Amino acid sequence: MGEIAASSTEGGLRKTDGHMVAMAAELKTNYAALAKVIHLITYGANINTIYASIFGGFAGGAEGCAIVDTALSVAATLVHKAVFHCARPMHVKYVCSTFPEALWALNITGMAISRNSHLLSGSSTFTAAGPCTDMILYESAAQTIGATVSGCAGVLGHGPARSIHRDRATGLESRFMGEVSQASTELSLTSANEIVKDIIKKYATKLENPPLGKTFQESYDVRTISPTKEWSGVYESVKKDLADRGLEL
Amino acid sequence: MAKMSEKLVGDMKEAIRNGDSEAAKRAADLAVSEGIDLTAAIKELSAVMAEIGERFSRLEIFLTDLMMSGEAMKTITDVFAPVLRERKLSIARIGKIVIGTVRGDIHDIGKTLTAASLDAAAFEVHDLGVDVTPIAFIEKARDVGADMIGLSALMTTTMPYQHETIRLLEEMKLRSKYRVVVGGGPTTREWAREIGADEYGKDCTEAVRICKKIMEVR
Repeated sequence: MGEIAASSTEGGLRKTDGHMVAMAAELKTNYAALAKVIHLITYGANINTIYASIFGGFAGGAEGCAIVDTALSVAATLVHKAVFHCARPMHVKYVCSTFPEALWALNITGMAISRNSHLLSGSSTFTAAGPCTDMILYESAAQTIGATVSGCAGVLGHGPARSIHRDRATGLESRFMGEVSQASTELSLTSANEIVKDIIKKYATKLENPPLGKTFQESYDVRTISPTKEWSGVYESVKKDLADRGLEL
Repeated sequence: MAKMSEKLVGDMKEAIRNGDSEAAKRAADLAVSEGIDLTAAIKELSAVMAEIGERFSRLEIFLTDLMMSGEAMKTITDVFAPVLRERKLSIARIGKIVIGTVRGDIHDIGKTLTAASLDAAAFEVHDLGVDVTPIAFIEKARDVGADMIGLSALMTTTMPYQHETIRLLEEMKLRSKYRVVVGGGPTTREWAREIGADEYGKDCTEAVRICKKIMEVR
């Protein structure tokens, strides 16, 4: 109902905006999703897929997740008439997409789709850490660098702090993601790999008990909608660190 | 006899580790016909299931492996159960739980993981599947004499059905009869507190720990 209510060329979600229709893990659809597809086809909108294979679940390990996420592009194209696919593994315990095995699977999937089809794939990052932490930015950078050099067509933003805590999302981490992706287009696969291997070391051991960071209201001046000095400071510090590693934003 | 018993228990352990229900049934049938101590066998096999549960919590194995081992164990207990009933013995279960994914929600991986982990931990699990209405949870809990009801929701739009189930228990004056445990991707401890659930399980490992704790005080 929300999708129908928001679909409008007059101040609502335009036909050219990304309308998300999710597939459930693993590779399942349902009547609610199909009803949404019918509405979007009738409206004449682009349909985007959002999906997460479960690492440790029916997809198994990294290899299984890579296969499932690749298959998702085909399934969503045929069943949901989707034109853009955003799939990544989610860890069954950590509930994030930035653990090392997931990055490998995401990157392999991106390469497979990019090399063997004309389908569009994207990357959205579900971080364990929350805003106003350096960890969220390192998680974002690790996933975004790999996704970009592996052929994904676009980056879609974040689900910070496992996407379950109220008010724990800001615009700065997504701006950072865009900057990282743009800068990563200059990297070779080899150099990107070395940078990401280094970055992962900064957060991989903290995924089980990550810092939640701060809420939007604590990280931003809500009157000017700009990051606080603290959050800007974290951002600048990580930017400098990435530049020292060879990725100038 | 002791050697045969050791061999057959060894075969059943191997079948469980390999998730091989056919091999499990063969060994279980032989165990019954050879008259080995079934209660002692189950104790040893339960330890293997616990070991498998631990391996899963470390993600050395995945959900399908856990489920196949659980199926193999169930195959064995299904063979043993009538014999134990005849002898007026039973397979010791820590507690009974009715579990499912709430109404309007077809996500089942987390719920299935938790059900398999609870089964491995010697709970009697009644898995109602997905898209389960509040009344269906309650009726099943009544039918089987459950100790706990486990409610899984994987979408913010279906989380309210966890609250709905608790409200219905209160309306039917059954709230104190069952301990309610909630979980699922978008749920949090705060949510569980807000809706009056007894416990929150952030993952299947915590769910098992919580259910064991519940049964200790029940």
